[in-house]
This record gives sequence, structure tokens and C-alpha cells, in this order.
Amino acid sequence: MKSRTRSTPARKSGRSPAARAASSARGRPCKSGELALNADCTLAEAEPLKSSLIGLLDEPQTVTLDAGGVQRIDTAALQLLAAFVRDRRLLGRTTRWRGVRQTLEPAARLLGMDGMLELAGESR
Amino acid sequence: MTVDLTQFHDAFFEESFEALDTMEAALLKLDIGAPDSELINTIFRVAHSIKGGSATFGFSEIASFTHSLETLLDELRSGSMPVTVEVSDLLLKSVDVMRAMLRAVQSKQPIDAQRVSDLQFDLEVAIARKSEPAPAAPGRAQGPAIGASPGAPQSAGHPATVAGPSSPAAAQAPGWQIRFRPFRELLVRGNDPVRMLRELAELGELQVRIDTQALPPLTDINPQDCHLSWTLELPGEVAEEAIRQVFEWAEGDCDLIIERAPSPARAEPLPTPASAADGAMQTQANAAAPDAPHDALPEPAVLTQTPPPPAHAAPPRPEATVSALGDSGSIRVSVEKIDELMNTVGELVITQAMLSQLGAQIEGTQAERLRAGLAQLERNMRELQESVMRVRMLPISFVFSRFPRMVRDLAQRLGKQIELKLTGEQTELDKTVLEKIGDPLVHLVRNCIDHGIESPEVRIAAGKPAAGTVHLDASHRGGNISVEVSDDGGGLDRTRILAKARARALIGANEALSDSEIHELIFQPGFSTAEKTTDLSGRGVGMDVVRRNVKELGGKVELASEPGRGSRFTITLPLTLAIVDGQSVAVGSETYIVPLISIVESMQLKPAGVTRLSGQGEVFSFRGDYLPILRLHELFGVEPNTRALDEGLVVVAEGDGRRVGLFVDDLLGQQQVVIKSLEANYGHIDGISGATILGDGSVALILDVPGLIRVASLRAAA
Repeated sequence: MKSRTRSTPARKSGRSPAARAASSARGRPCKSGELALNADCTLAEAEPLKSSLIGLLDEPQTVTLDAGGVQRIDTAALQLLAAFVRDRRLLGRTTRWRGVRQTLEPAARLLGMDGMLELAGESR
Repeated sequence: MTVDLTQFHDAFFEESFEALDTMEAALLKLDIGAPDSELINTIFRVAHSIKGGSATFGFSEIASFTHSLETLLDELRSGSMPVTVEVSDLLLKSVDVMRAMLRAVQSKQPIDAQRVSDLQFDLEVAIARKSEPAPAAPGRAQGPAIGASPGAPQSAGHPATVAGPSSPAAAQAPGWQIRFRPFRELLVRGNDPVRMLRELAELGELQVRIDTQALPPLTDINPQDCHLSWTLELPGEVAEEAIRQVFEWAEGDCDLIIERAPSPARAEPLPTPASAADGAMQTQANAAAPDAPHDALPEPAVLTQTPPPPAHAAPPRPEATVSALGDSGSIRVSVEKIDELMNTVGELVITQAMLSQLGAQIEGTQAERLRAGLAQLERNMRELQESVMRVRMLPISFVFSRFPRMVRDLAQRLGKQIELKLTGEQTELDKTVLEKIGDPLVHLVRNCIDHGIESPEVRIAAGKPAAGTVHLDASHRGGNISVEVSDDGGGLDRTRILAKARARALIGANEALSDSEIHELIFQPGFSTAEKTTDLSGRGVGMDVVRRNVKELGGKVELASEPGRGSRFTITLPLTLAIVDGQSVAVGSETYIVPLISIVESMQLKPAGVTRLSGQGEVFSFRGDYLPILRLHELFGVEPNTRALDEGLVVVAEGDGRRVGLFVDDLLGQQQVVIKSLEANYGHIDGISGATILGDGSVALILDVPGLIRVASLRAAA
């Protein structure tokens, strides 16, 4: 039986102040365990993206990354996302994707990174 | 000290069957030509653990077979063998054989050695053939072989094929191998590998292998730095200058080695750290149109050509899997223990009802406090009962999970294109119900595929998509669960059903039937419109069995069909077999429980509305229909309070698609009752599905409406 009272750091104040500050401005977290990526996922926005991702790293529930609004993405952002997905996997946590078809997946495929990003797990 | 291993057999079988289900599901998700390495790893892990377990327990046939399977999987995992349709079929067959072997060993029956050795031979042939060039299907990437070691760290990513405008020459020309190692500052200098690799992909079918070994943990990454490197292969006649041009702006910010690829036949491992990858994954994507602006990303229109990604797979790393298992915090409990608990809770519910009844009659100063306490007890009881019931609940996905494989096999065999849609898989229902609902659902799905969905040609001619859809949906509705099986096929063929029914003299030659009456015909035993009997359907043992099985679970089957648009079967089931929502009715001094699911409505009859038919008893008019009246006191030989129809009440009940009016003295109230099996404690009685103990300690019989209708018609005929 699953415990009903598992802590969810991302929902509580356990999140770093930087992450909270960042998420209010950038990469809007829709709800706990979900992050909608910005339209511009590029080097210029990489620092706040990293902060948002770190805030979700320990989220025990499945984190859904919504790439539906992404219009531009580059290696800097993909590299952060790859590290995020990998680190969560190492923690035994799962990460899912949404809306990758348009922009994120083609770029990730070009870099040979789609497997590592586990894009196959896109939720419908 | 010797350990008696037999005590672990049950757990081994149980886990192995579950693991085979996982393996089957993963196989079905595996994309031919572009397999997800994580799925292959999942499949491999299953085979590996079954091999280990069976060797431990001395099931040598299973261990030997699984060993061959594991060898084949290892070839797939390392990428030295492509995943083809044949391999996928072989693996699915292996799942079947392993299941059969496990079942045989479990029930101490002999293993079908011929079947096992045949398939094992096929597996070995497939492994031996891997060195031969596989017939490359158009559009399928035959990727490079990547040496893999199971325990290797996930240091590198997966190779991907990024196809550009390919020319016939591309297949033969040796091509280039490019090692691209950006320095950290590559990105801040304005170079973006995404853009560079896209330009390369425009030159030919680019094979990409990323090396992420140097990628630090997220927390330590400087987002401005590049921590990735790539090994690329570009086949075909491409000028070196064209490649150099792509990297022109990155000069000085990376190490770049461009050399002739060792061999056009990509059968050898790439000499890169990537060789240590934990698996290989090949994907294929068309690059952006050549005229696409360099800062734009590939056009969506092009992307639709990419194969759909396989569904989410288990984490690839063994330690991640272990920790996930450890986290789930579940324990295995035998069903008997839960049933015992359920039974005790049932007794408690009865005791509580008894106390409540008693409490209501007590007067005096303490009575109010007693009643408050009893009300609290009732609330707690309900919660306890629900909690225990929830323990027995399992998601219906346990049953649904068998369908993707079945539908795939059937569609293949019948030459139909079928898309299976599953929704509401997380809907939970009682384990016993779950176990018994599987077969009826299989019948229904088979029927949809065999009779419902038309062949692609017929569908296209009818203006429908070539692929038919079979949709399974489960949901909770009130205290019941509803499972729908629908298809977008041709619907029921009224004319053929009528012709068949006339031929079999089920109906008169000139009898006109309503839609629902025609639908009812297909539930008749032995009824089939199939022109020839196949192993799928046509033996006429389908729909009546479905209805009987569902009825045994206290449920019902309904059917809606529209010619040319498809049909929909709806199975309504109680959430549990232990408790039923019932209406208690009084007949003389007896109380009976009518399951609410069977009740249409209750009414008082006017004497004028009742007609007596010779040989058929009494009927009354109900919404334009005439329904027979069953006097419960006559059926059960009870002395009633009244025999006058206008003094008692009629409960209109439905069973097997027929409606009757049950004549009773009075309605007492609705309540949840705990079902006690009559068959286990006494014996089977027609028309009675069980018994329950009421709050006052007396026993009430629970009516089985379809059974009652049968009993009544037999008596009328006698």
C-alpha cells in the first residue's frame, strides 16, 4: 500500500528560494510536479531554467515537463534537461514529457539525446 | 543446513507471470527498426530474472530456454542485431512458451518439449544469422553495432540516425566519421550543436552518438558550459569541405577529427567511449528541409514522418529499478487472509446493524448517548468495510493488459487493421470480479474484431479510415463498474440475425422484432451468424456464455448497435461480490432482498390494468408493454398478507433482457447487505443467489431475478 502522506518538497517550502523566485518569473510551474517550459529555451534563459529544474529534482511524484510552448531550444537547455532527467532517474524518480513533438524532440534527436531524455515517455 | 526451496515456488511463479506480462507489454511497445533501448533492457531483465530463478529452483528446461532467449536479447541490446518483425514475433512466441512452461511446472504437468525445442531452435537460428546482412526494409535504419556491457555506466547516449536527402550512392559510399568534442566555451561563443548537426544532417543520413560522460550532476552544471561531445557518421559521397564548413565558426572552440569511416557496412563498433553505452537505440528522423532557415527548427510537417515514440519504459538502470521497487512499500498478502478479514468485517456489519436496531428501541437517560455511540460505530464500520474492500481492489488494467497482444495477433491473422484504445484502466474492482470478467471481455473483443470491424477495403469503400477502432473503457457508475467494449465497425447485421433466427425457428417466420429484441437474439445459446466456424468465433458459444458469466457476477450486459457505425456492449458489474445494494421486500413473514441493479421501478397496480391470459398467467401493462406477474408467495410457498394485486406492490425487475413484475406485500427499505453463499453453506436453489443476515438476526434470501424468470416460465410451461 502506498503511503498517503509522502512529503512533496516541491509543494512545500523545502524548495530553494532561488527556485521559487525563478519559477514565478520563468518556466511556469503549473502545479506540483509539473513544469511548463518557456517559449525560449536557450542559453540566455539557461540559468533560470536550471533553478526551476533543481527545484523539482527531489519531487517524489512523477514530474511532467511540458514542452508544448517551446519555440526555440538549443544545446544549453537540452543539456540541462538531460542532466535533470538522468539525475531523477538515478534517484529512482520518473519524469514525463508533454508536447515535445513540435520543437523539443526534433532538436533532441539531432543531438542523439532523445533516448537519454526518455522522450518515449511522453504522456498523452 | 539445507533450505526447502519449494516454499518459494509460489512466489517465484507469481513473480514470473507478472514479469512475463511486463515483458509482453514491452515487446508490444517495441518499435520495429527503431527500438527503445530501455524497453529492450526491461525485456532483458525479465528473461534474466526468470532464468536465474528457474536455475535456482532446478527447472532446467525453463533455464535452458531462457538462456537462448537471453542470448538473443543480448544481441538486440548491444545493437548487433536489428529488431525486425520476425524477431518481435519470435520474442512474443517465447513469452507464450515461457508462460506455458511455468504453468506446466507449477501444476506439475509435463512440459511440451517439442514446442519448446522448436522455438529454441528458431531462437538459435536467429542468433546464428545475425552476422548475415539483414534485409534492410526501406526507411529502417540499420544502425552501427555498439558493444555493450550490462553493468557499464550510462556514460553515453544513444546513436540516432538523422536522415537527410539520401541518394542511392549514400548506401555504398564509405562516408565520414566525425569526432566533435566541443570545448566548454563553445556555447557562449555563439555556436549551437543543434544547428550544426542539423546542417550536417542535410548532407546525408547522419548517425549521431552523443557522449554524456562528462555531464556533471544538474546542481553542478554551469549552464553556459558545454559538457557534451559527439561521434558522427555521415555516409555517402560528401565533400570533406562541406563538413568543415559546418564547423567553420566553431574552429578553435572544439576538437574536430574528420576521417573516412572504416567501412560502409556498419557492423563494427564505433571506436568511441560510446561503446560502453548500456544499450543502443536507433531512431530516425528527417532533418529540416534544406531550405529551412538555420535558426529555425525542423518543420512539423516533416516531423510527422518520425515513428511514434514507444510508450514510457522502466528506468534503464538496474539500481534505479531496485530503488523504485523498494519505494513502492507494498507487501504480498494471500487472498485467503483478506477474505477472512472481509468475512469478519461482514459479521461486524451484521452485529452493528443488530445493535443499531436495538438502540433505536431503548429509552431512558442513557439512550441518547448510546445512539450517538451507535451512529459513530456505524460510520466507523462503513469506513472499515470500505478500506477492506479497497484492499481487494485491483485496477482493471490487469485484465486490459492482455488485449494489445490479442488484438495485434487477431488483426494480423484476419488481415484487418485495428487500433485498440484503452481508457479507464485505473478503474478498480474486486479481485474476484476482475478474475471472472476476463473471459467475457475476451469474447466481446474477439467478436468486435471478427464480426464488427470490416476489412480495410470495405471500410475505405464506406468512407471510413482503413483501421478500425476497438475501444475498451472502464468507469465507476454509482456503486457499479461499467465496462464498455465498442467498435466502429459495421454494427449488427439485422437481416442476417433475423434470417438465422427464422432458420433456427427461434422466432416465427413473420414475427416482427424491435431492435432490442433482435439484439437479444445474439445472446441465445448456439446462435451464430458466422458463415464458417473459425477458431475465433462462429461456434455460437460466445454471447450466451458472456451473459451467463456476467450474470454470475451479479451484473448485466447491454448492447447498442447502429448499422454502419458500430456496436457497443456495456457490462455493468457490482464493485464487489461480497456486498450487494438491495431492496428488502416483505412477503408474509419473510423478507427477501432484490438487488437494486435488477430493479426498474416499483408500483402499485390497479385491478383494471391486469389481464389474465390463458396458460400464461397474469400480465399487466407497463409502458406500452405487457409484463408477466410473478407472485413471490406462490413461487416460494409463503403465506402472504394479501393476495389482492391492488393491496400489495409490484417490483418491476429485469433479468436476461426480460422484465417481470414481482408481486410482494410491501417494500421495507434499501440497504447494503453482506452476501452469504447459500451454495457453500447449503446448496444451490434456482432463483436465489445467496442469503444475508438482517439486523434483527433473521436470515433473508437474496433473489436472483433472471433465475426467478426461468423458474416461473418453467412452471408456466409445466
